[in-house]
Amino acid sequence: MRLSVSQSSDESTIKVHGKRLDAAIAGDLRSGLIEALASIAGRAVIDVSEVEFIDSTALGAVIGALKTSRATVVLAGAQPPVRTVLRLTRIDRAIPVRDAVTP
Amino acid sequence: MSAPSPSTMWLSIPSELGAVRLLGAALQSVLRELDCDAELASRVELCVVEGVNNAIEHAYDLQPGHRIEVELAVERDQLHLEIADQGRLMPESAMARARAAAAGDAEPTIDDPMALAEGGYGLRLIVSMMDAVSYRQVDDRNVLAMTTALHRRSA
Repeated sequence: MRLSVSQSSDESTIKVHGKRLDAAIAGDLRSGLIEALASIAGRAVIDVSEVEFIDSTALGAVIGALKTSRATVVLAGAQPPVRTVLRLTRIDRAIPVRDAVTP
Repeated sequence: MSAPSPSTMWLSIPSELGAVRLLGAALQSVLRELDCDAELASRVELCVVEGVNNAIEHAYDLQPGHRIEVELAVERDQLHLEIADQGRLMPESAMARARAAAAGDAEPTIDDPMALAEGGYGLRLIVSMMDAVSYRQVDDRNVLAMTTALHRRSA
């Protein structure tokens, strides 16, 4: 799992490189996201389009990181397994999920 | 569980989060061989991973050196899964909370990300995704049992 940050005029995108977000890498995911989000004040898009699997521990890491941030966070490009997890946990009621990675 | 049939198998891993990925890969391979569609394979993998993570984190307090066993059995159109550990028993309240949350009558829906809980979603996902879920102590083992309909691609 690796993160990269890019910027457009009105939002910053944090791309998650990796197919699997699980408990084994949840600590790295949390600290990586906290670091990436620290420099973003406006809208932050977390691009999860590569992710094919996410467990609840990794999801907790995303929530934990997001709660340290001033940015407005949106998840983008979620594949069906990720969408299902966000829907069943009702986390998608609190964190917007959009199809397109670019606005 | 009934007597083992040719489509029963056991997989076991050490109580380490780093070992769970390989279990997931093994399950995916078995489910593909059983002609499961991608949706079912993904759902089963997640539920087993959540159950095993719970065993590692809560039953064994993240201590390595223990063993977690997964049983997979096909009976007609049903897929039965069991996850067994010999660690600390999960309190009954955890399962009751998960069932209430999955049914949507536990708490009002949270719309503020700052108010979201960072954990406690695993068992709720299992209850939401499986047709039947039970948890019981059998001798010195704690067994989480799950059942789901087996959709085959060729069916």
